[in-house]
Amino acid sequence: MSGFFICQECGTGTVSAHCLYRTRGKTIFRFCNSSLQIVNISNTSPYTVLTRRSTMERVLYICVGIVVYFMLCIETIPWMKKQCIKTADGSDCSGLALQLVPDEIPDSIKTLDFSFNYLPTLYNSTFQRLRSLVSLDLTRCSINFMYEDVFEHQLDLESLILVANPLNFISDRAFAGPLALKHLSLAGSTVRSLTDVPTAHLEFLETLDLRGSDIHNLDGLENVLLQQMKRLFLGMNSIEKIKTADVEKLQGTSGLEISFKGNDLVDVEPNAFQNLDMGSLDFSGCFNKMDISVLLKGLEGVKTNKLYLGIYEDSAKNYITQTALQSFCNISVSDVDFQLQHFRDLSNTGFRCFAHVQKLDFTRAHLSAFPLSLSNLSMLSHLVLDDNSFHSVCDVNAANFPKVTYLSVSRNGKYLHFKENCLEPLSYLEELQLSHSSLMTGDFCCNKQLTGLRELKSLNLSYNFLMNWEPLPFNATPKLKHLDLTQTKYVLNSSSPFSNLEKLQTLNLSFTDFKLLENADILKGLTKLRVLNLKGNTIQGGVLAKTKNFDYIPLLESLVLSSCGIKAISGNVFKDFAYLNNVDLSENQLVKLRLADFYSLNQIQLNFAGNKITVVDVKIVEDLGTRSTIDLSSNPLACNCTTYPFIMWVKENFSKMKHIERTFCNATNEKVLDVDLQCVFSNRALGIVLGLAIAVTIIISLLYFVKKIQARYRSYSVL
Amino acid sequence: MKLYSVVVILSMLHLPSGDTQEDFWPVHTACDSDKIQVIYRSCDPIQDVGFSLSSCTDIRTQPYVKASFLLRQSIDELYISVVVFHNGLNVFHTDEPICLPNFPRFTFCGNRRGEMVTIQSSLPGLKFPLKGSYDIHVHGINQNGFQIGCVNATATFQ
Repeated sequence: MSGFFICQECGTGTVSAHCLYRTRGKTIFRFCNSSLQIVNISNTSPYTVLTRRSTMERVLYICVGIVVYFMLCIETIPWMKKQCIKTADGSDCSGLALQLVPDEIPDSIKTLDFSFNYLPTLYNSTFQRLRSLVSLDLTRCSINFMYEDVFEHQLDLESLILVANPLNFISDRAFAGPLALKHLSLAGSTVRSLTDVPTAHLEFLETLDLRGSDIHNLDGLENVLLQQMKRLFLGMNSIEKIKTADVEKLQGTSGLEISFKGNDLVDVEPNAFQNLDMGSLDFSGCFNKMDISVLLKGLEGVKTNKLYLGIYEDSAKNYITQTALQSFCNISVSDVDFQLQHFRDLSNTGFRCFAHVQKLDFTRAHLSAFPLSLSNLSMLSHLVLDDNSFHSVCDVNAANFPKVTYLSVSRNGKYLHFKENCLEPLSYLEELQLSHSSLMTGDFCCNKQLTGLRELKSLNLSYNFLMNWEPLPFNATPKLKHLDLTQTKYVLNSSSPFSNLEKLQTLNLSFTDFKLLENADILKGLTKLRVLNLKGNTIQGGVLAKTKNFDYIPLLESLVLSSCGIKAISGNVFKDFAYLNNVDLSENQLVKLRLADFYSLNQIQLNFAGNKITVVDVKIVEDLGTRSTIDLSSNPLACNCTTYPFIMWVKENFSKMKHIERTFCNATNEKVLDVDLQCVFSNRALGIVLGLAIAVTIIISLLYFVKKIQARYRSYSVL
Repeated sequence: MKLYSVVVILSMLHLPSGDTQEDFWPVHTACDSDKIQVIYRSCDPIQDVGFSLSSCTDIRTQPYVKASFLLRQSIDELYISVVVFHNGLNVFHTDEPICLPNFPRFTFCGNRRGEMVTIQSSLPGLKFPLKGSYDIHVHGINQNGFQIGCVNATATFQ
């Protein structure tokens, strides 16, 4: 036997309960909590061993010990490997405290997540052999030095993430070579100036993220305004002044998105952004030290698609006056965000200059009513009024914006009375969001409230109070495609309330006390339904049986029945759903996994997470097609040699397993993917050890026998 | 036979020892005065968190709080859950969206993995005096259901 027996103390944690511990190709037998010293027998000749009985005995005892140990190990002793995880087209090596790219990483990988490791210096050789890399994540790797030509060999590298590295030194040639980088993130990497980014070789760069990098001014902006540049993130820095001379460098760009989010601006020169054609300008949270009117003066003359002027809960309070809003007469913008702002004297004149604005976001803008008669919002198509304090839906004065296609009055701060005909002028409205708004719908719902909304395609009434439904509550909105009633309970006044909704494709009835089996005709008429969510509606008796309701919805593709208290499923419940490709049966009490009831397993996403499944027969999951997945996380899965075939299937088909990182063995709380049962190997090892033990016993017996004969001879020789 | 027995017994003893041990982060003291003690411990398996109160004696006026944690995943969405127990009874529970895709309430919303989130803010002072011991459990998840942070704290008021 080459090698040695080693006895060492158990480490804390998971590796302690292992039969075998392999390191760099050698196999060593590991004993924990043992006080035995290292017994190195490799240098001891077999002859010497044989002639020393006491040594022989020791070896024998150790062998017997190993035998007993293995016998105890065979069933339930997996051990955890800390190594990179294979992903769809690369490897995830994050958080392993690695100091170099492991040898087992194939050369051909396209993505490498190497975040949360330790690489203080990046050399030309660090990633040399990974020549197919497209995406490389080096987040928080303690990188101090980036030397020249680091990515010389990565011709296809498009995305490089260097978030949160203390980059004290970046060589001007760091990105040299035929590199075609598109996205570079240096957020939180202590790049102190725009001039410090070595952009000479980054002519294809589209996104540059320099958030939280302690940049104080826009000096060197021209350095990062590369030909292909589309997005520049300068948020959470210490930029105080925006000067015309700086911003002039943006002349000639078109459609650029720049974020100054969270910089405490002090001064913006008037008309600084004049004649610029921008895609997006984000000044949210920039008004702790400066009035918004200063910025708006600076923006006069600009053309931009989006403009973020909101603040945050951790920003200082800010007020927008009517006078300040007059600057919008000289700003060409289609989408404005005012989240969390306060408006002084919001009246008709305030919106005088919003004639061309198409989208307005007033989320938590401390509004209790919208001005009564605005004539200038004729172009408005999207209006968000979430988190405000309207008394009634009528307070939004819908006649002001007749062309609106999207209206949201969600999370209203007080009871929102949904009165009759409030939204009647909105004949173009396609989407209405009224969730979490303590909606008071009066005696009956919902035809009078939805009068005039002939084009409505999406309606969200979730998380509201009990509604007393008319026999056909959505008769006013026959074009409805999506209806969300999550957590909104209702009183039924007919057996088939949705029978006029022929176009409905999505219906969310989760947590509504919906009775699937008892109200057998409730889904009648929903012939086009594709998505049905029934989460949190208890199935009486716990047995999901075939129901007439399922016959009404033959085109169903997605069915959610999680948290429904299902203990068992009768045969053929899902057999008629030929298009079913997503079934969520998570958080139930299923003990057995059955997949035979589905029409096809070729392309289906199955979720059995959070059930009580212990044993999975590998024959059942083997039928899953290549584009199918199954989620068995948070089940009390048994990991022993009985379930060995299933565990091996998981390892070979991990791409079919959803939430594999949360799929644990019940007994040991280890990830199924990390389990190394060694069932086959252990038995072989046991055979070897048993064989050795027997051989040693025979040798000792022979030795004993030979000694006895010798003793007899000696007595003869004496004679 | 002595050695034989030792090997066998030790082999058997070793088996259950591995998985009963769990790593716990140390208990930190955020505030310790003659009137108020606040201790906390991270209940996240991956990382510890930092939390401190500027002055314990001012907690009834406007305590200044500082909290810091590292992001292991991005927080385009962040939802937190706070549960308070008083003498073993659940006295308060709230689930709050902190970052929503269309409503980033705080400046740190949208931060990427690897970045630190540091919160420095004055809390509203307590309106009425509290007595006894309060156990507070706070945990936050992101858009993927990934746990961003988890803290168990105990505040004791004299």
